[in-house]
Amino acid sequence: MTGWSVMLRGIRYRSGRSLVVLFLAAFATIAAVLAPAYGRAAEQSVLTDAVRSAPQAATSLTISAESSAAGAGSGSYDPAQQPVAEAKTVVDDAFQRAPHLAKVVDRPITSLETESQAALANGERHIALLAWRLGFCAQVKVVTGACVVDAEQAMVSERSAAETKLKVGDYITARPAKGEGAGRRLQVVGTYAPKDPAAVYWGNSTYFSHAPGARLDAIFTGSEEDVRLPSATGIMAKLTYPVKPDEMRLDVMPALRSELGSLGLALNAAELRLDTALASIVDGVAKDQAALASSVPIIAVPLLLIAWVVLFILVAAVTEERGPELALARLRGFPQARAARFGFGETLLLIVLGAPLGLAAGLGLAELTARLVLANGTHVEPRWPVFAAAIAGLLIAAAAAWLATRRTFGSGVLALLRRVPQRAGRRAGVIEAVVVTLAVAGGVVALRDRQSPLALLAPAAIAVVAGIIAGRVLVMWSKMRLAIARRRGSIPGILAAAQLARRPGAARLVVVLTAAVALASFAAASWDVAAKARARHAEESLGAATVYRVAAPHPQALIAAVAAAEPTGRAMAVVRTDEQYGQGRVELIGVQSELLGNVALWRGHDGAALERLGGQLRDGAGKPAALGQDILVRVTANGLGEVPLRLGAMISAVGQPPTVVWLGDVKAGQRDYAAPLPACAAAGSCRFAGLAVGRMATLTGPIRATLTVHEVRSAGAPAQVRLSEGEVWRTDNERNPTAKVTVQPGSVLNLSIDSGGPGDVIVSYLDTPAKLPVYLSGIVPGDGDDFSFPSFADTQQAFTVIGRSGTLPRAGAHALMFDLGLAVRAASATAGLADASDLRYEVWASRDATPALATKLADQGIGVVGTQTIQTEMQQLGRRAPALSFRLYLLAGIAAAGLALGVLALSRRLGAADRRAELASLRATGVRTRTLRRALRRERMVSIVLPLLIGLAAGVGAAYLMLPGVALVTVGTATPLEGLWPTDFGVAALPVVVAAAILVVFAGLFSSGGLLRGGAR
Amino acid sequence: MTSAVTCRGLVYIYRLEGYDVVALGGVDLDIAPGESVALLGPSGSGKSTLLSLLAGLIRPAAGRASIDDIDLAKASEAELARMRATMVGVVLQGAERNLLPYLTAEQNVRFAQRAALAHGSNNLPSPRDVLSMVGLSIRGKLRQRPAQMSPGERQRLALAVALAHRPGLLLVDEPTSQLDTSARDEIVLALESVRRYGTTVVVVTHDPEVGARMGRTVTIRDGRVGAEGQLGEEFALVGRDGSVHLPPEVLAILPPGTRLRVHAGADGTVTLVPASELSQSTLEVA
Repeated sequence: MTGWSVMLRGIRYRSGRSLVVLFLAAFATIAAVLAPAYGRAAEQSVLTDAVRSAPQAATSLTISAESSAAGAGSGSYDPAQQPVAEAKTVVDDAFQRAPHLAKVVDRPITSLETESQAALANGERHIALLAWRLGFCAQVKVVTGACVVDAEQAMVSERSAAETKLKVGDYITARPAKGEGAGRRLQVVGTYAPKDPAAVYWGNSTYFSHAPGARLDAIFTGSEEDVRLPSATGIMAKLTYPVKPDEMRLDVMPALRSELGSLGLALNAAELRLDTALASIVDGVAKDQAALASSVPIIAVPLLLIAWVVLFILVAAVTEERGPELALARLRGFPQARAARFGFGETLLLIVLGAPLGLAAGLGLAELTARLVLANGTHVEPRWPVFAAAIAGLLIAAAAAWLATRRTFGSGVLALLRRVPQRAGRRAGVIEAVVVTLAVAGGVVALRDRQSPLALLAPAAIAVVAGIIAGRVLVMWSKMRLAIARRRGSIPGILAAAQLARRPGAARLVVVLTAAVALASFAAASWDVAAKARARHAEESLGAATVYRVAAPHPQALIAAVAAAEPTGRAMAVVRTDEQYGQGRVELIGVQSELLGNVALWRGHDGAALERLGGQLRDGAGKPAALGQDILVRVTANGLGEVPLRLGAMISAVGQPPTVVWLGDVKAGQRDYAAPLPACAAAGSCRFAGLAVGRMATLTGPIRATLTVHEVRSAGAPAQVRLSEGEVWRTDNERNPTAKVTVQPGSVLNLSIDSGGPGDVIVSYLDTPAKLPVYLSGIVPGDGDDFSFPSFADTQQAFTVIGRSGTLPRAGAHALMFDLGLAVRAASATAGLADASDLRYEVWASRDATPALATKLADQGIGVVGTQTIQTEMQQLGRRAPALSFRLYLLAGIAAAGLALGVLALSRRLGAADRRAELASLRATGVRTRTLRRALRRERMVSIVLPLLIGLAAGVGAAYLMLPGVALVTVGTATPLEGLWPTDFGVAALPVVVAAAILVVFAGLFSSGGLLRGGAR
Repeated sequence: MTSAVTCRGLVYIYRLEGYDVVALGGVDLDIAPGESVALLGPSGSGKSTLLSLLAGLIRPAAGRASIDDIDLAKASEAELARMRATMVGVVLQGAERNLLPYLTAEQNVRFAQRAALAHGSNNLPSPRDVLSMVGLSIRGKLRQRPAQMSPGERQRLALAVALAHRPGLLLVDEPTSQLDTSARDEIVLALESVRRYGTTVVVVTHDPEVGARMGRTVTIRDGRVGAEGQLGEEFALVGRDGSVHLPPEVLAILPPGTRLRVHAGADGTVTLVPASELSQSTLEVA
């Protein structure tokens, strides 16, 4: 018979306890393994989420070349003028030296496009993007005719064909939109409708931006050469490599960053440009990943400690039970080492067996959590830190168990045979004092810097102190109750208090249970507060119930499309941009202020307040000076100089820069100066933007005139032009710095013009307030409440502050909000916003907006490139660092509480035989069953309720203490806690913990009767 | 194998609730190799303490105790363990305390022999031989666990386990407590069988019948050897310091504190005369 067989027989003999030791050893390993396994998976999830949620256009590697004027003249090498396949060869070669990058990108989508003017046979001209894309035919439905396959073929969209009456077989001449280059004749071979305008294939380009009367959808050609219009500049060749989010692994990030840099340099050398936001997206999540890497291991610490403490307590108890066996081995003369092996071997074997079980279970639990909570496709990766953690857990568990056996192993044979265990004495008190001191010191350090990951140790420290206090309170309270019960002669009181006062095991269990409940309640309270914080943040950061990120040709097109798609006013157009100011950036956000009250979500502002705010943003806005199919200006001209002059009107067409339409030569006296405006036939498509006075043809000389403007009319009716407000008439000195214009408003407008420079004199008309009302968050980017700052156009815009807030919805803490219509009117006085590539277009929708809004917007030519709802925002926030850490803390807290309760139940079960014998002997002496039942219930009440109450109080108190100043939603940003504390008992973690605690109390009370069954037998 | 036991002025003191209690106050005892001795005496007289000392489980506070040439006061823990593994067998009071409940009878004997093997002992008897020594050689008994045996069988198994390594000295504490008459007889027979093998046997017992079956009885009173008996007759012993433990019936006549005149007669008798009275309480000792 070998020592192994004795060990195995002993394990089988004590199968219940052995199973518990095995379970605890496995639990300790699970807790050790969970940190590296979950932590890595969480870091990967954050990365995957960031890449998936970013716009495809941002993450893709877009390699482009734009044709220059020199290249267009064939004077120098111009990659945009070369076949795209050549550029692809260069790129492929560069990717050879960037293997990690090559692995994460998909096959490229190559394209060539240029802004063109399509001239039809009937003389109409329409602006449209002329484009060639590889694989185009597979992405569209051919409505009529056939798909383009050859040179000099073109396809137009079904709706553009309907407006322009183009049919299969017709010819169009495509010319450059700017410049006077020759055109290319293309035959329309078919009409198309895109299968999915929002598909990744189309990228971020505005192919489908048909605007009636202003613009057609893109015209696609069968050959890339057809796009290279003679003398065209602005030909953009692109190779877009979409990124495969699932290939973006943590391991390759450093190599990826390095290869992105070297790829850019290599492509620059070949006159190609690499655009991608991938590096900044990856850098953006680095903070979250760093937070996870530092906080997750710390969160695992309390769970590990509880597991080891419970293991220590259990092994100490089991070893004490085996005292007589150990005594026997020593009595028989076993050498010290063999006796120790006999005594410790069973426990050590169980701990070693528990390690692989715990490893497998820990990995399984982490995998389950990953599948339930983390980004799709995130799995646990069993790397060396996981195995190292398992080994470390095993070693420390073995050490804890060894320490637990020291007292028993150090006892003499006769002491081991003694039936009544010796009391721990002063040593336990010293250990408690040391632990409390360390815990308090650690807690104070942690509280000083709440942003530090070490702050997460403070609740554990508080839990430990609470546990020790609870243990002491139990003993003191029991002794006090014992004395009182003795005086009163209350037998149930004596029995209950004596049990609790004299047995060290009861106090130890109370310590563990209190600490575990404190951890669980802290975790639950923090989770609830953090969840509320996330919900609030989601609303604030989103700005509305649903936000669609869209591609639009220009703001007016977006406004019109939104009005058509959601005529009930439950959706509004929003245009955003940002500008550098000082060390940071200022967000500019233009909203349809008349719809603000219906749509926006803004903490602290209800619908009525938002309507008032919207009204303030529109304050002072006059009606737009809309023009129809003609314009007439009645002017009296005097004081003319020698140089013959002509009068023009500045016309701002939707999406176009303002242009001058000359109305006729200026003659002295009163005349009507008129011209047709065929491009303004569609209602609301043009506005009056000012007057121009220029020299005729090639004449030179000063411009002098005194003009009295009596009236401006269009389509037979007066245009809404305010002649009586001088502020809205401004001389455009950028075009003509020498121009001097004196403006005298009144019932008529008098302009005294004197200019010596070569340019025309432009007097702009603003159909907006001189200073745009603006709502501000952060510091004023200027001096005082009136300041100038770039708006949607590159020119300075005058603003006046009408209100301030800590944050603006979706714009943050440093932003300007203004009325979109007014901002667009002001900007389009000087620029065509169709060219403004830095504008970001969104549609905000309220909760009761039509669910098919995305489809309706697409029908209006507005492609939806991304959708965010409060729910998705909350889901994404729930997968970022603070939430992932709190989630792990919640799991750890629940596990700790479950473990402690399990130990409590186990200790009752293990000691049941002895208790039954005690109770039976008491019954044999005449103590009534009812009395014993009352005593048992009192004992159970105190030993369960005390730790639950102290633990709950300590945990919630720790939350009140710790959470202010802790980042609850995003890393590095402390969240104000007003309104976040749980005030009701809805379904949330803390009420569940409290309910579970109440259930435990009842279960403990009702299970006490089992010990009394069977009578005195 | 057989061993001798020598005790000279053996003292053992333990601490109880802040007081020092003298459990043994100077025991002088010699046990020859192969002798069977029963230690008798009232509860608390120090019998079990003496047994624990002889087993090397506690150290004497003063005096000397040796088993063969092993000085129990000076031996190290390792030497004492070796002694228990090779020379001394101990049977604790209560059979269950001597046995591992999850091993069979044979396995319990083997377990005990592992200690001797660890100290290099060879030539150990087979478990079957050991068990047959105590009358447990039936095949079915070898595979039974202690819980499946009768109380008498358990006690015999406990004896067998203590004899597993063929010790020279067997120390047994109350082998017949909580046993009925027939079981007690089985134990006594087993002890006689052990004695026949030449093992020195020291048995602590309350049972005078058990004591009578041993060759010699030593009565311990108040931590000292009070009397000895042989072949059923008990004798008071004169201690090395000249003290004599009077039997209880004499103590009733001459209670403690009585001053005596001791007169030695020419015929070898000794008369004890209380100093306060002349003839009434004269005690003659021959």
